[in-house]
Amino acid sequence: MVQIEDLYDSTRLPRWPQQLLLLPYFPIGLVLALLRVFIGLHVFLISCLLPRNSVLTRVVLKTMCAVLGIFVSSDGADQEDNRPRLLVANHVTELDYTAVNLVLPCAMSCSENLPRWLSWMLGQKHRGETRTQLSQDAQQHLSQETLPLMFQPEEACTNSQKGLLKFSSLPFSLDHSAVQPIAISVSQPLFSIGVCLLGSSWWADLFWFLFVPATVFNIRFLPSVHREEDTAEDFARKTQQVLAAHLGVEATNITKADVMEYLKRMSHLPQPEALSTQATRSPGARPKQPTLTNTGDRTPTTGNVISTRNSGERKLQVMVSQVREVLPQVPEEIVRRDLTETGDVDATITNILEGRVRYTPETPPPTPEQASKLSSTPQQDVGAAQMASPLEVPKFAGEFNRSPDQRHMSLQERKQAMYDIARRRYMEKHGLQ
Amino acid sequence: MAGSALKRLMAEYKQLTLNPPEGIVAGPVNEENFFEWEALILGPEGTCFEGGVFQARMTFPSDYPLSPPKMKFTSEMFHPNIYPDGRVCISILHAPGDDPMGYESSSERWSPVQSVEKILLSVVSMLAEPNDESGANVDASKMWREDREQFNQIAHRLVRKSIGL
Repeated sequence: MVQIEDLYDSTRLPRWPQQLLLLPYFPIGLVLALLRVFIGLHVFLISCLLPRNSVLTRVVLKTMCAVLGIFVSSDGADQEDNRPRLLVANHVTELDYTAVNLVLPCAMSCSENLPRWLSWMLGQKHRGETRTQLSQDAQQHLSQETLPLMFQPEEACTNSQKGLLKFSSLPFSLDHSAVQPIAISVSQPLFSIGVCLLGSSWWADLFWFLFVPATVFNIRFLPSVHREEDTAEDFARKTQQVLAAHLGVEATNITKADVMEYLKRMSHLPQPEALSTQATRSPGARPKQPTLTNTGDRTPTTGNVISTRNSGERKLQVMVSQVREVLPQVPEEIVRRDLTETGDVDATITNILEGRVRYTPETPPPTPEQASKLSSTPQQDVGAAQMASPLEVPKFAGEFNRSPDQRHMSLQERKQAMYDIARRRYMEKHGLQ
Repeated sequence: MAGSALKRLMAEYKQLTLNPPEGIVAGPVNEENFFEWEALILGPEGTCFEGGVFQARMTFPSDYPLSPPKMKFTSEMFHPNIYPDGRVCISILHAPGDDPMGYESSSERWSPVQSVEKILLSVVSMLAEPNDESGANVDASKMWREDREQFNQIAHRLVRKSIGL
């Protein structure tokens, strides 16, 4: 089974012998990256001036991209004359579209992972926000324009070395009889600086692209996949398998949402020092579980996600997520505000639990039934529960004593009360003595 | 990690003590270990489990609430969604991604926004309305579908047994 972390490079550092080369190369790479930013702007201007889709434009752009260190080699681009106009490619980097466009001019919708202006510069078209809008636009494009339309149904980058994410069914639900699968793989001669790290930001990716001497996109056009009597999901699955088989990887069931969820989990991990203080303060806690060390090992990868903020803000964010882990119904702003005052996770949790901080819960409002339940006096004791009329379902509320022993006694009493009341009712109902 | 799990469990325990849902008592088996709870569930009115007091163990992982707890009835049960060994099979106890039966939508799965209270309420409604599509207990499923009379009799026997009569 391929795990989420297998789909991403764990580090940008090249393997051992290459690491040595990196040291002297670093200043060169830095200058190179800087120069390339300016050249890149020129490439953009030229691509705006030259007519789209002409042979000349492609040649010029190809050369300019080579200067930027982006080389494209393709296979099978010219084989088929009447290829399907719906292109489906795996997603390795945010520059995939640019690379494919150099070989086979095509259109693509904005990537959700880039800022709008950047995807506009890369020539992606903005389409609707919602799925239905997107698919309507795509359908319209296919029926009215001659340019092929490209989709990357993984919806998030993966390194495509172990597995492909589950394909979204959107491009496969369009009214089109076949798709053209495109297998993209990326290699970096001399240095290979991981192109696809979990949770890295687009600008970091872009910087490393410009930093390395060269990046080669291998683009391979596979035989088209035809829709048979399949549903959109089956068709998506079939295409995913074709692409995965060609790349020699697994077609996984992991979706972009799973990756996001995973990232969120990783960034919610408490800091190591917070962990140790909490552990000492709670003698009742179990000893460290193996899962702990497991997840702890992976924290460095997520460093990338948070490193965009300064350390104070970052610390606060960690504390906010710690509190919200315990009390997810409390809105983030409320937690943040109280934390800036207290500066302490425990103090804030206590404040919220003891009602010193007012907030409206984030979950949907309770139904009238639940609301009346909430408004009933919390300090109802066991006696009151026993008094309840036989038709009502009793509530076994108790006091939450600060002393563990008292608390436990109360729990035992309430349990006993439940048995008693159930027995009494049963006997009444069935006329037993 | 264990620290925040502990705090969250403490908060939930407090909430459940001060403001329990109807017919539910739940709390740690002992104060030394907050990761092992016992819950008593009163069989819902108007169902074949009416009047029973069913005992269940809940075991919480150290990364709770990121991962869901496990729940197992220690009272004898006969129900389509409870395995013969007492383990409860409902979607809220499964994290999105692992779906042994392949029929659950991720909206009703476990997430940190869920809570012990929500689990117990789900179990109450599961007792009231078994889902005979997921056959955790195939015999019970079959009997529920085909011979309701006998199912009710068994349930009634279990109710008596659960309250020691």
